[in-house]
Amino acid sequence: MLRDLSVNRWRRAAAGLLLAAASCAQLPPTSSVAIPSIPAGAARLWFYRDYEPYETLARPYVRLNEQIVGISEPGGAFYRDVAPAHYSIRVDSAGRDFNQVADAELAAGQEAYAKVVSLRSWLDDDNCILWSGCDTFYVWLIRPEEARPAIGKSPFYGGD
Amino acid sequence: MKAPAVDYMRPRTLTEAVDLLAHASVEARVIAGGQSLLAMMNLRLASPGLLIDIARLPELLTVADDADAVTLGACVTHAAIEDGRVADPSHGLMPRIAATLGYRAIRTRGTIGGSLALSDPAAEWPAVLAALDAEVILYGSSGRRSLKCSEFTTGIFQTKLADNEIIERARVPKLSADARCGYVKLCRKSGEFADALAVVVADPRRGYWRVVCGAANGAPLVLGDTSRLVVEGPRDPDALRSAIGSDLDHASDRHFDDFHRNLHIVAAMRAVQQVLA
Repeated sequence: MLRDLSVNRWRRAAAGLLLAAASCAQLPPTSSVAIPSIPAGAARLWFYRDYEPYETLARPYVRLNEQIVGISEPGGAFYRDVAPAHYSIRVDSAGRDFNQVADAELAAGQEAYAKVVSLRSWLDDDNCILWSGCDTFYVWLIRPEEARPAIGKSPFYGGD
Repeated sequence: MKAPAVDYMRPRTLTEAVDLLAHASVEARVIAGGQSLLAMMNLRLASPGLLIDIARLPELLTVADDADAVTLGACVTHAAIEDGRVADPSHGLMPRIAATLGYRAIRTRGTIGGSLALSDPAAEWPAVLAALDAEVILYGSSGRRSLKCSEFTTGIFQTKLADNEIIERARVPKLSADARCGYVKLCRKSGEFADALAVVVADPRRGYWRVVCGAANGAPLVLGDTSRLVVEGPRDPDALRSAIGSDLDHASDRHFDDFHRNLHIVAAMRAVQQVLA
């Protein structure tokens, strides 16, 4: 009997720890993470997205020249080190609109910042949700002085 | 907070109102709908010593419908335009826009003249009337004068209205039968001021095309390159995006951040698309 109680207590504690590790743990802000320098001959592309409580929580794929390179998390930031080249940057989007895709010409050692924007709740003049309310994502290149502070505050989702 | 104590006068004529304004010994402000001024007074952002109420002046409530234009008295409310209680020179553009201003309670009191006089950079009427090539008629101690709406607003809450002048009317040219308009307002929440706003008017019969950007960190911004492109009827979204971006970049004094620059591009492209569709 005593042994059963002890086992049950241990199981509950283990389950709690697992839950905390799996879903409740907060990722550190990017500013608190040691980010390695850009590898020689590579360029770095940062992706970030503001957390908007009234916006979609969808996690669309981020694509460089149509290849999936990551997932855009609400409020999250990550980077990818890539070969110097021209990149078409887009995020999978159910809604179609203008100005959804960004183009970046990256040289070795260069860093660029792509902001993922969701305009699902941006209203049109008829006060209707645009495009039948489906998630509509945009990727816009943002200059470093505007992007870096926002990325620094965003939870860091990794890089390579 | 409540507004500070203030004297209140309701003149019977426009001339009397201008006299009061010109000869007041304290800071005097004209009030019509009061939808911005009273809020600013409650927040102690404005503390006039005298309010001159012009809301019921008959000269400012009249609407004249002639062959070329409709002239709206400054105290015509947004709701009157929304409900079609006054003549519409714009084939539905102005009622459509009036319906998006704030909330109905605001629209029943707020006036077109008040919106112009305040010239909030994110407000609709300064941009829309500039796009429609409207004129604003001012009445002051030294008489009457008129200005293009595109020149009347000079910056953020800044206009060419002199201290002793009152907006009397807005004269809006009538669009031709085959004119087309586009309008897009981007804001997070119904009833809010715009984060980005675009108005397009294309009236080929009058040889008139204009694309105007509102909520543009200053006076309404006329997009010259984009307007010229609309004349040609562009079908290439990249060319259109490039022209809008170029127009925004030329307005370097507006200091658009990249986010708002892109937001304005989306708004303008959608509005142009409405005209070309």
